[in-house]
Amino acid sequence: MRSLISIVISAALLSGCGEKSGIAPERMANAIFAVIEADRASYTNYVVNRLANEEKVIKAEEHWKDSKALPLPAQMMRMGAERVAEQESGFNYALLSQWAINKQNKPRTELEQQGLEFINENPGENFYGTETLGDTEYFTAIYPDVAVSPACVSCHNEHVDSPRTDFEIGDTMGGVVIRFPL
Amino acid sequence: MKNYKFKFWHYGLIVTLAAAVLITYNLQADDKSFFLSGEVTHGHHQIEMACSTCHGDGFAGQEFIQNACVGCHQDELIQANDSHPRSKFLDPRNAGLLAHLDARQCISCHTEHKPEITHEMGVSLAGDFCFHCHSDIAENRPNHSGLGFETCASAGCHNYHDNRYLYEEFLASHIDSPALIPGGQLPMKSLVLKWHAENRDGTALSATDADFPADTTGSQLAVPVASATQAWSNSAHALSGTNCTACHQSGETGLEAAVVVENCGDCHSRQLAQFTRGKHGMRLSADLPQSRPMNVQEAKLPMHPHAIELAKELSCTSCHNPHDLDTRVASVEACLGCHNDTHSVAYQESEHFRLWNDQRSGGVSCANCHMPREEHQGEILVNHNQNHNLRPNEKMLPVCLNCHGVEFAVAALADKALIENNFSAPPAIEHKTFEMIRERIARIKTTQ
Repeated sequence: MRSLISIVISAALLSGCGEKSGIAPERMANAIFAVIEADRASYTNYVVNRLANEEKVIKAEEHWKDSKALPLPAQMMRMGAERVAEQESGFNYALLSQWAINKQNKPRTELEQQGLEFINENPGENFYGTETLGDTEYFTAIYPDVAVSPACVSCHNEHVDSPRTDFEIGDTMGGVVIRFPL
Repeated sequence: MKNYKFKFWHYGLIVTLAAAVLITYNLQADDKSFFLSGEVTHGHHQIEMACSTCHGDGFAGQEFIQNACVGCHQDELIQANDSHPRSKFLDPRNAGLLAHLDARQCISCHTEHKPEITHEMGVSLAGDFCFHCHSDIAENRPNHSGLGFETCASAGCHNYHDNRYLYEEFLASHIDSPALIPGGQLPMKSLVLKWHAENRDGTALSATDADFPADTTGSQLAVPVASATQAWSNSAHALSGTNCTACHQSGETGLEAAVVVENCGDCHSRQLAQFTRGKHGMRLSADLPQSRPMNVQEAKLPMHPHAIELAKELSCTSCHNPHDLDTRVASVEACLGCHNDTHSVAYQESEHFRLWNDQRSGGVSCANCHMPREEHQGEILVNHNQNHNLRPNEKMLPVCLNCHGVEFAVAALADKALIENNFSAPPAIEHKTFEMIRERIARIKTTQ
């Protein structure tokens, strides 16, 4: 009996040696969000808000190519998300909102709906969960997307298609959704 | 031998071997036509026998086909600000939508070799395909309520890929322009002017400078050479110091189409790249496994019998007389020398032609519409892909808008009868899109 127990314990230890110690999905998602958020806030504050709203040297518009203007911060982020998706980097991210101007960016999955409601009702907190899309299970993290400059609130409050027009700086306007296949 | 009786399986063997030889010959040495599973679309019929361009060695998978599509069409999709790029559908949240319609693959919508299900623009889906993802559009845009999904992309309102001139702000900002803009005209081409500005010292050549090799001028070619030299001496080539041997490198004449495009492309590389993207020149593209020029006989559109009889091959010199380089000839006469469809035949009865023929403002040649003058880094250059702005035809709007208002132009481009008779009269009705745009402008004004 003692030798049987020794064999079982040894086998368990040896099998443990073979496992790779990776980074937990939540920690990885937090790190990625930190990069996305930092780039987004920098672009919004130091490029768009400075040049378009303060110094008024160039506009930021949806059809920025035609009007030789700056891309809107949300467009800039989506361009990055599409490039990441094309590179098949092992994760995806998106900017969604319950009050999206483009309705394609409203929550589509149950977890997205649940997560966006959670971060709106619990300022400063993130939301984590798992969901199955197609035939793949995903770890999904949702982070609050907070209005960091007057450019954010003025654009969303004034846009004719905006379903909400009372945003203020500091409000959660939507969420950044990061997904990893499990 | 006389008494040998052929049995049934002997005949079977002979027939099988004969069929195998025939099929192998067709695959290896002939045109591979036995392997064509169905007629290809109008966009690919020129290259339907260049099987390996899309199918690789025949066993290449879907990824190879997708890369082949992207290899030829990616630049144009980027230029068109593709409204539905593949990258938009790579987010897993679209998994449910992709189960209905896999928008990541070109062939989900553009299945080839299926003429029985292929519609305009080479789309092989039912006309209401927008429904799969936009079924709730009337909730966000109540004025779209009741509009059939088969009308989204067929009424001159939206396109799947290219909406550069159909988006709301663009239409709204041009909505009040009159049907005919006073003094409207096409932008002036700037290439030759720029060349002269940069080469003020002048390298112009005259007829006596022609360096066509002398040993051939003594033969029966003497008269044609003399007349070609005369035409050349008044051309932009002589003005820019381009002598005979730049094209006739060893004094050869009757150059083959592939040699012509190579020679021209040495200096006109941009024009060559565009020419080999269009139906006139795509067979001469360096990206194809073999270079065989398009022939008028093989055209799908109606062509003049004499052009078919001549089995005219298409290269740069099919339109541009290589010696006098008269662009007025290249922009009407050359087109009508081959094209014999209703739209082409009706052109010479149109106001566009009458003004062009009188060399008056507002005159428009075939090439002015089909080979648009485009701005490139501050220069106005002619796009030599004559299919560039044809499908969807709203791509032609920037040309029309030089002289016409957007409402007039969109209505005209959506009117098939008017296209058929080459715009012999103004469009009969205003386009429904603009009713919606006006409602929208009014709403924007009231919310501001």
